[in-house]
Amino acid sequence: MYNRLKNSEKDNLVKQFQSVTQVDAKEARDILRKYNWKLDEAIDYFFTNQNRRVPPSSGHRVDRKAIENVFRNYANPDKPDFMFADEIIRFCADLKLDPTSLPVLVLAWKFKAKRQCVFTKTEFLEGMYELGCDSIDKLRSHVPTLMSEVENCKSDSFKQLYRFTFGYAKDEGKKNLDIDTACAYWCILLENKFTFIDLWRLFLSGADGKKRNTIPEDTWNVTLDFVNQISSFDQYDTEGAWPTLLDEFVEFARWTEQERQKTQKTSGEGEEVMQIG
Amino acid sequence: MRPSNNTRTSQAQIAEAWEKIKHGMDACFFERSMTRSAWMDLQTQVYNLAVDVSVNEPQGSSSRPLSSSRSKKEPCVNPRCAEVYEKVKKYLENYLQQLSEECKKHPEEDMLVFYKQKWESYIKAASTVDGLFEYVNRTYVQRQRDHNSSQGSFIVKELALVTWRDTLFMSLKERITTALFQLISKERNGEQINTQLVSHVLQSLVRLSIPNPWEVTRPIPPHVGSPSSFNSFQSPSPCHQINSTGNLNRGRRDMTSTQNSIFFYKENFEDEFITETEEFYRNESAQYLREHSFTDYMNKAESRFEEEKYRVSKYLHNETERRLIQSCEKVLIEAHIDRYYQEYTVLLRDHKTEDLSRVYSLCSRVKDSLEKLQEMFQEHVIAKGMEAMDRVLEEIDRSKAPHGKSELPKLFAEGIIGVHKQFVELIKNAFKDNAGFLTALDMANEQYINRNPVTVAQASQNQMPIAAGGQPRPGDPAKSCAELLALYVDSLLRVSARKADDNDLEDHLQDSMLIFKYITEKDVFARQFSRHLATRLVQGSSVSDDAEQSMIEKLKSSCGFEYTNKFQKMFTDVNLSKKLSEDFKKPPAELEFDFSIIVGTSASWPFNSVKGYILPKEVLDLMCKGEISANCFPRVYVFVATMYQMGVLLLFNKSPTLSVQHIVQESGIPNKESCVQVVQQLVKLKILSATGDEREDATEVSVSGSYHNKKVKVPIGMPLKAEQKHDRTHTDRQVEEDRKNVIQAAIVRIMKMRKRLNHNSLIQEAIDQVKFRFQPTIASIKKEIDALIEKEFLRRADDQRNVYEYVA
Repeated sequence: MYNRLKNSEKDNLVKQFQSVTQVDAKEARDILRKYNWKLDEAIDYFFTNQNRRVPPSSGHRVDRKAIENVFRNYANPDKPDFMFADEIIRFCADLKLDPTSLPVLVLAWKFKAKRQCVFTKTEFLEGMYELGCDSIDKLRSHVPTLMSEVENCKSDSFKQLYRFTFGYAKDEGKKNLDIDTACAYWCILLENKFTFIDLWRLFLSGADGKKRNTIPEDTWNVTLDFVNQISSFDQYDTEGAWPTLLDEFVEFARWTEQERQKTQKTSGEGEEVMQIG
Repeated sequence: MRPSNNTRTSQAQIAEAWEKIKHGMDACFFERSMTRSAWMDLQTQVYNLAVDVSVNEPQGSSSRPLSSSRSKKEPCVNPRCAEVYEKVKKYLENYLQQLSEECKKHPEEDMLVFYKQKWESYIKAASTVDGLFEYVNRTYVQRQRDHNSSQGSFIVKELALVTWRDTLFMSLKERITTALFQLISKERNGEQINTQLVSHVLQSLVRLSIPNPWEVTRPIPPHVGSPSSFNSFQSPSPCHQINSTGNLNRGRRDMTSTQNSIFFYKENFEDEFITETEEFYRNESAQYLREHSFTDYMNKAESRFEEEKYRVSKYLHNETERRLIQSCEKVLIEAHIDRYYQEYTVLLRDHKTEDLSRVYSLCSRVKDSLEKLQEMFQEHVIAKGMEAMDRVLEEIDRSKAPHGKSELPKLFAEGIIGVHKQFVELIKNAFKDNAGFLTALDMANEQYINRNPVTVAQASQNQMPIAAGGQPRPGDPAKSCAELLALYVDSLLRVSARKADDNDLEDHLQDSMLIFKYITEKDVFARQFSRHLATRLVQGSSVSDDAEQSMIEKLKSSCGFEYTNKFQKMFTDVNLSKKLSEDFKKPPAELEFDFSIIVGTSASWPFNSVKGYILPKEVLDLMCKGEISANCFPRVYVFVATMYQMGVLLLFNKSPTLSVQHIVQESGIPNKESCVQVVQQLVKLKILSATGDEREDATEVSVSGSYHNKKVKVPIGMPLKAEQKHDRTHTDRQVEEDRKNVIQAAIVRIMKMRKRLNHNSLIQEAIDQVKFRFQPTIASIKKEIDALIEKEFLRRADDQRNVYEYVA
């Protein structure tokens, strides 16, 4: 029935949509058409997916040719459809980014990269297009926007990034993530976000006397819940639905805490004796 | 005679008629005789007065059927009726006032006697007078009741009672109750009293519980104070006669409640009586406890309860019993409950069955106290059990002899059984087999049997792998317990010199099942049992097949078919093999030597097959033994040796002296440690002699020429330490592995059925499924959940972390 709307009515809807979202008329019309001219749904979509839409700044069309040129600049000389570690390092350098930093991981996520240290041509082209960038400069200036999207580790987009990382980081054909790789990515992802990141790293390195080799996907996923929900070990229920790894971590953490208090106590007593002396 | 047109009877006439009536009533109340005709005349007078027709009506009117007169007069409310009613009331009040004055002249008990006499005749008189005023009852009172008026709604006989109550009794109340309490007090102190008197007086109180008919909230019973509620009155009393007509309001309120039917008795006697009683016993119990032992006190209390019960049956209302007993319980037991608990502990310690039974029967009267006793009982059993276990350890230490250690399982099991039997006996004799105490015993058993000095000591010898934080954790005492029991059962079923006869054996097996019931780690027991069983079967050292079968049956009935499946299969294997061996020995394969073989199903037999050990003869596993005749010594000896020993000894056929290194290489025993131990053992037995430490490769070992033994056939086969240790850890590992599988299977079964389940329910259901085998820890279940998620049998629900879904 909406298709039978008069053009004037459609224009009216577009104007309303624009007034709310501040996008240009064409995009407004596209989104509205996609949602059968239902204004509410369209606006809903717009705000929930605001981050993925074509940025309003690129008022003009994104130049696919330009993106291809950028890619050609970084393509592997032997396999021109791929970028490998060396090329990616160069790419990062041009973006003034550290290859092992979160922004690069975010880019990989945006590019929907299948494997770490590899960008295929399709991933690169589609990713750049989606981001609305057709030059290195534009991409570089867009990075802060991207980062703000994953600023909050409780947000949905951070969760998507986090879950993406598991598949991205693990070796092809393997089910689980190698513990060192997992540890490295946890550091990238959770630096400044996870209160106990240092203890966690210590624990993963085998400080509790147990040797662990891999991290299963379930454990990886639930760890984010742990990060978001547990701010003190007192509130952790060892009998709750946490994977064993986290139980062991909490046990270890509680144990270290006790040890610390013990040594503190003994040193405290020592001080007293000193004062008396 | 009198003017018939007079519709209003003159005052004088009324007064005259009333005088007559009053005179008649006097006759009733003062028990004077009266002729029948005089009585008839009175009735007429009352009727005439009440219906307000002229008094000169023919005499015959009195004999007129009442129904017709009523039907005629019914609709009008006759003011004269009220007047008559009031007059009657006044009369009664007057009479009773005099009576109460008279009562007051008598001292205490005499007063009661007097009261009783007067009451009885009063009741009789009231009944008669009621007949006199029947017309008033039927018209005026009925009408008043129908209008729910508070005025004049008692029928005359009720009126009589109410007036007695309000006028006479209330003025004497203090005196009467005091007199009663004095009597009861006397009886409590052991004096004889006139219980009949007390009973009668109290019964009058019950009779006086006449509810106000206009108060609908207080329903009245059809039979006020009927004798049935009063035990001591077996014969119909005068009151009963009145009652037989007192059913005017029966249809209106038949929601009888005994509670209310004796409210007057309750309010004026029972409440105070209860207070008195409490006071009496409070003083008595305090004093008695000061002067006598607690045992005496309990005796006293028990007899007091009996007495009070008797008292109720003798002269109190049935209703009182509950309250009376309750208050006695309060004062005699509850008030001293801590003392009870305290004494109870002492009595338990001294095992005073009779006194304990007294504590039990007294405390069972008081709410919640039994739970406390059971709790204390449980603690006591645990303490006793621990003590017994300590004694076992001491005994082992004391004996110090090498065989002492092997006595441990026996002492352990017998210690437990001794404690258990002792307490079962106690529960039977002192606690009337109360289920709560049996449960307490069960709980105590489970607790101390699995964790006590003996099992802890055993467990500390089997240390577990390093746990978090780097400290070694001792083994699980509960597992040690299962192992000890298995050893005990083994010692029972294995042939040995000192053996009890069959009946005893059966009893011992029964006892061991008793311990088995409390073992939490039943799977460990099964593992050990199967190893022992296998050994017994292979070595032919089992006492009897019957005993073995009986044990397996017992386990089966306790844990089900699955649990004993493997044991049963081993049995079948042995029987099949016997036949096989016999067939084999039949000609033509005539054998020079004794040979028997058992072909076992590898899944059922708990032996680890040894790979890569090739011997002069093909060997299946270490349970084999063989006989070697040695010709190198002054005498010919036959050694019954294990396979490893044979392997080593046979090497010396080639050369009398060999280096250890050579032996290790040539014997082909896969584990060097085991091989060295075999050599050490043989050296210790002085069959071989070594030039140095057997652990050094270069040490030379030679056949000792000086071997001497009285026996010709020498059994030298003893299990190797290394093998034993290896077996241990192997069994442990196996048990762990089994448990994992059991848990995983349980989880998958649950999830297959539920499809989607939250974490806590899954854990709970999994525990429920496996708990009859062993007690799983939550951590172990979580571990298996992790494993199953990894294996993609389960997955975590997308939206909820603590919900799992089954992956089909």
